[in-house]
Amino acid sequence: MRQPAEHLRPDAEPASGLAFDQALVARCLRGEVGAFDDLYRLHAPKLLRACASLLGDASEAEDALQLTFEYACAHLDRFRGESRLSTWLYGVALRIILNQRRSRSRRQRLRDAVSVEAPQKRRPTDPEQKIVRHQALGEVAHALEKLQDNKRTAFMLHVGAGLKLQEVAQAMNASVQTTFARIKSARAALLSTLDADPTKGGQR
Amino acid sequence: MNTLCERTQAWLEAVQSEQELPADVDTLQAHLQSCERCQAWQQASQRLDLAVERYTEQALREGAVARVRARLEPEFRRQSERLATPQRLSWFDWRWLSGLGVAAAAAAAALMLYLPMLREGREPVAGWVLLREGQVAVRQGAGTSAAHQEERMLSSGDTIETSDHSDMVLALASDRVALAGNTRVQLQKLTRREVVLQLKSGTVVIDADPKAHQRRLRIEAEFGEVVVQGTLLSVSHAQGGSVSVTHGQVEVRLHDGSRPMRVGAGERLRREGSRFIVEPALTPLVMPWTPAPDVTAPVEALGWLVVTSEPVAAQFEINGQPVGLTPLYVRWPAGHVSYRAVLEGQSDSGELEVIAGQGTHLTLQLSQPSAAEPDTHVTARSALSSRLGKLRTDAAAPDCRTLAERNMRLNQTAQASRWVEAAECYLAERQERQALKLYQRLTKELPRTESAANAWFEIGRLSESLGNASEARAAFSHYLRARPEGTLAGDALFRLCRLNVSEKRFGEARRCLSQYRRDYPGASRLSEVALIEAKIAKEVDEDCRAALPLLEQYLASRPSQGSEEAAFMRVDCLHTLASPALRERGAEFLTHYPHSKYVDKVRAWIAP
Repeated sequence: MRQPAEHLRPDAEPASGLAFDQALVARCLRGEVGAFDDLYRLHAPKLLRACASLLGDASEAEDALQLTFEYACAHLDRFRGESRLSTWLYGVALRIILNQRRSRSRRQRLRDAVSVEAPQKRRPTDPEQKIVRHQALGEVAHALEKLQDNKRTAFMLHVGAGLKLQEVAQAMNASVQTTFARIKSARAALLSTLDADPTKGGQR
Repeated sequence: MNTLCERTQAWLEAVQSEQELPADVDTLQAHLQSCERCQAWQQASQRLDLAVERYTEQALREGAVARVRARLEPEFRRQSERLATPQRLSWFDWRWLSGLGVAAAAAAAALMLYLPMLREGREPVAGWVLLREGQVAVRQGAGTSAAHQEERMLSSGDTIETSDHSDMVLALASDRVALAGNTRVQLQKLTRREVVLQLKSGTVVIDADPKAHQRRLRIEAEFGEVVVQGTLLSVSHAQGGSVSVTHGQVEVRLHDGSRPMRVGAGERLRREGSRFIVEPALTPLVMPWTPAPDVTAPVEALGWLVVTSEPVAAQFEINGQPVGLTPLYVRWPAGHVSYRAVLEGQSDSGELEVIAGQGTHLTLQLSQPSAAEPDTHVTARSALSSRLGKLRTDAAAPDCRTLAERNMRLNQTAQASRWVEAAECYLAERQERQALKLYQRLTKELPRTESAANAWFEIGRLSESLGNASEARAAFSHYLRARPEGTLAGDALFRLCRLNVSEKRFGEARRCLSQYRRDYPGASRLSEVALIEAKIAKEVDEDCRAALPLLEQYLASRPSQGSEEAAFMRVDCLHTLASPALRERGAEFLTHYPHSKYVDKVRAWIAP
């Protein structure tokens, strides 16, 4: 059912659920002035954070955000209202980011842009110290690049962008259990790559 | 690692992800407190999360959301407009079936007929670089930059760019496009049906073939798009965008969403503040670095000559009149002409026919003669004969006096256009004094040209703004004598009236104002004329009875934002005449202008 326009203020947090999303989409599809603005204002900050966490580069994240909204505006009629609008937007953003990553050899570029320290021969035994040492963003980026695409995406959306597990699962079109398993696996792999897992590596 | 440790870590991850917790939480919690390895794992995991958050933070720049929002603004507007247009039909109705069948058959038949035409329309046509001067570059679709040569073929997607002090002329089918210095265009489409040119920066002058009825030339600029057919015009990004038309008429579709504007011959569209206005164009257009002596002749009567020579830089003359150095491109009235090219003692001459609406290429050989080679003239002429087949050697010489007069006039017109162009350039740079000097020189040295009359108006306007009222008055008088019916005559007369008042020439001012009322009865400035007349009546004649209706006329044309001075004059007159309307008008004045310097006076007058 269509909501009255005054209930659709963007500053009214999008907690109002699917009905709110559908009303906003209906406003956009009617060509109502300011509807796209509201859509942007509601979803852009979180989407930008997600793009930034997945791409690790400010310019690329802004480009991805722009492309996401360009696509969303042109194809908003494809939103069927079965999930939250934010989930649909995350799905669009993920596809765009995936294309971006495919089209550019980002791995190589990151390797060139980020200075990676050579592995040290004498490793400190304290895992806390190891994490501190590896907090250098280049190391993190390097470790993230080694992850499988779906594991990295799930982990970064959940930990980096702060999305709930259910949101990540819906955006990635996967079950919650699978997503949880991916995040868990990614965490273990990252700790291992960063040499910070106290349960491995014969540290005891 | 034992099983208890694994379960403890799984529990910790479930807590982080807000997942269902295991039943034996208490056992695991107790284990965590006692197991150093699990505690270390917990800390490492937390630090990893922190590092990932920092990794995300470093990819977020301040103001990014607003920046992207600004980039999306046109897209949002475009989509809103698209969606706001009613375009949806209700879903299928069986009753439509018969109608749909008929429509489908008709559409198929139309398509069969139309397809060949469509294919023909999409067929690419020739485009090439006709001439160039200075450093220019042609970037092909793929983006490779290449130094450029004449007669290089162009195709859709090419970007052509001129730098400082360089010009070039492109031939796109039978249309000619001249690029001024620092101009960048991209050929979007080059087909038999349509030529689309995207003007990215700078200025282009376009000489569209009037005979190409089937082809449309479209120029897309930042401020809008210009649709051209059979016209001579220029499109420029300078000063927020402008379009000047010398022949024909163009339609300009502005990007601000307003209705398409038509710009006719002798008019110019330019930006003033946030909107575009159409006004008379003072300068007839010329193709850059082309003498173009008689662009004011009907376009149907003009043909063009493309002259190249080997070696280049030969002085080229038509009918004894120097028109420039080769290679060159020149428009010329149709008819029989004699030409001559001279370079370092070598020359070639002949006669040919300029054909209206068509181009004629002339290639001359001016190399040093040698014993083994035949005479240069013979070589050039035979080359011309084979190439053009239009060379005529037996034509009678034109009447010298007619020729001399015509050529002198042509030369002066071209020269005057150049000076006006330079003066306008100074004006664009806000160097009014330099522009004024050029206009003054134009009126002195080339007084009989079309541009000279317009130059008088410009002198008047500039002198007025520079505070030289007497010179401005003289200049406007000159303009009105030279062009009493000119497009700027109304403006000139009004300015002259205003100057007469400011110089306290009230007799002349009265005559001038009454002439303005007589000659321009529907003019928008009549209210301002009324105000000037009211001032004269009140301050010179001290006749408030005469001034009042004039002030009413002026104020009626500006209901809410009327002039404060006029409103005060009305109250003053009512006070002088001791009119009963004084109180009402005075109160009105106080309401509209509560901060006026006349407030105290008016209050005193209307006090009981």
